[in-house]
Amino acid sequence: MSHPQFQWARLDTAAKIFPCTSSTKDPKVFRFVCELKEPIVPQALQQALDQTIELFPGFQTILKRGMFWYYLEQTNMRPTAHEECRPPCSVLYDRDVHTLLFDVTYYGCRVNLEVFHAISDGTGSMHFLRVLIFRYLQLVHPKELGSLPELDYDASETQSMDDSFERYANRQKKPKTEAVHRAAHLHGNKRTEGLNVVVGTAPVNDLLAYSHRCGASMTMVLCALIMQAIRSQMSVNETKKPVVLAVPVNLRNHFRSASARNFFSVMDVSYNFSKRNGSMEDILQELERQFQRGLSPEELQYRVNQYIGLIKNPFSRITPLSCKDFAMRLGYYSASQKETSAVSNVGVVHMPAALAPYIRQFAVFVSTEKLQMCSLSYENRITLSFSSAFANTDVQRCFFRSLIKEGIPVEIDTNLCDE
Amino acid sequence: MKYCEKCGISVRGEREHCPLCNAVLHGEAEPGGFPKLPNVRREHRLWLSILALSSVAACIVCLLLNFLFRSRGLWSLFVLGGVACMWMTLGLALYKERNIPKTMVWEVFLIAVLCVLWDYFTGWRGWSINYVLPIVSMGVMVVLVFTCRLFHVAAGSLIVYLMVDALMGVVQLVLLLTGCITVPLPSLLCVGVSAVMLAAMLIFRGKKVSEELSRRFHV
Ligand SMILES: [Zn+2]
Repeated sequence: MSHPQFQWARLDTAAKIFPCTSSTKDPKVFRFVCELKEPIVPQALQQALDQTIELFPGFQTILKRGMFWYYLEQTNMRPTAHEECRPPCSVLYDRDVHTLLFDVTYYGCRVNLEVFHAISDGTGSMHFLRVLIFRYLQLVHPKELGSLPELDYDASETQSMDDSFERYANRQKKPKTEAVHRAAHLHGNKRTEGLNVVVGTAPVNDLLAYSHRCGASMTMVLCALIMQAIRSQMSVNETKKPVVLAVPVNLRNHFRSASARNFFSVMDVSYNFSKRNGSMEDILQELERQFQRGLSPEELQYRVNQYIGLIKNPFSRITPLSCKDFAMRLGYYSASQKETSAVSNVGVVHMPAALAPYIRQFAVFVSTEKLQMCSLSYENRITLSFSSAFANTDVQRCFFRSLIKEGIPVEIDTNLCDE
Repeated sequence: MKYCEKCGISVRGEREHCPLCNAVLHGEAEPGGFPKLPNVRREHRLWLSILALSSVAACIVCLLLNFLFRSRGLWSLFVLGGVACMWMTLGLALYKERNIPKTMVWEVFLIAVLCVLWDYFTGWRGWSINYVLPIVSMGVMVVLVFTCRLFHVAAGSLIVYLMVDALMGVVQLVLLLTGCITVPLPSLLCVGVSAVMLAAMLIFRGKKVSEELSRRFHV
């Protein structure tokens, strides 16, 4: 397998925010998990990883600081698959020591792929994990799976390294949006070390049936349930402010792109419990309206332009990196004040049918300084993973109990220790 | 799998209590997906705290003594300055501890600046630019080349560090030509060594140098 080696590359447009806002509290790392039905064989995983990295040149890179911008540089460092030994979503990017920006670990029956957001977003990394698991299972079960055709990931190398923002940007005015000044915030003791992760698994059919009963899409129902769960934990004072959820939008669904790098944007949906009645129907109605507006072509085009505008500005280009770092951190902080939490539905994982007997489920979660929910479905299992910087699990309890109330069985797994 | 009757939820792992409501769980345990990790705490923070406290104490004692014996002048300011400089260099070393060549280059810069400041505030005798600057920047060049052999630093980074060090050589040339330096021998030697080093880099690694610069300075 050979691909034209690139020497170095600019960070893609959306990724430029990640190196400067990455910290030990929130290192901007996300983790994809694939749980098999049998324990992992480390040698085979390493071999599969060696094969997979050949297909993803964008992953074999280190991040460096230039005078004006960060950039990715090709490296000869080889990734090693090792047993999980750090808390989930630990720091991967260190300003002073150049290391690979992703990590493959295993524990029991699970393979974890942790990725620093600057090199890829959820979709790109999911491709990586799919190829890795595919190759791994082929190596472990050569008799049954040896003759399978290659996975359907068909982007050529230039495409997979493509910065799709640049391609689709145009000059279009900003559409009118409702401004949120300050969102409600969750309060509570923060954890001293690492994230608090609660992964819930439920049958997709049941959840879909429930969404049909509500007459809304699954993402909207999940958003509404989380809004209600957050509402139940808010202080009286906070209730005056709207609950705002950040919902990442995969721009690949709306613009043609096969990039394995970042190509997503974030849309905010809000609901003010002090001004409306807070019933499920009303929340869903409001969300429906906001989703429709947020996913309209003009709004999406604006999101693509928004990033580009900043980056193409000649003054911002020749500002030294350390000043840019400061400005971006400031902007990021003020933006994060306008959001209560985040919900991202990564979607459905497709794997060849022949692999289904070996795979139990997939999951995904991200590092955060607040509370965030990510969902991912495979076959009939959807994983709803909460990652949180808070020590308590009150929102999670409300959320899962409301699913149980609708007759949806839930099983949970967590990294929290027994007291 | 274990089960929480209050929440109606199945729970994986070998825990005794429900992670959501803390009720007692019932049923058979099923292995979970997160390993139990030991808590990691750093020991050398303690030594740093001790050092910090003793330096603060030393400063306070000096200030008080100076106040008692006012006739000898403001000597306690030197102590304060010295302590501040020590913490600046130490702080930098700790902040960048994991990248040795980078730390060294930054330290050299800091030490040079601090020496010039000391020299300036103690009546400008020129020792900082006459001796300290050339000796330190020559020293770092030698040490850099060795550390890079020892720690396998990528050629690209080495080039940048050497360039920064060579820049210090250029500064000294300016000082020499403008007559600021009164003892020219150390600076002359340093400028010579830097120039040879730069020439060697351009001759042997010219392509690498230009590639590295275009990466670092892309807009
Ligand atoms: Zn419970």
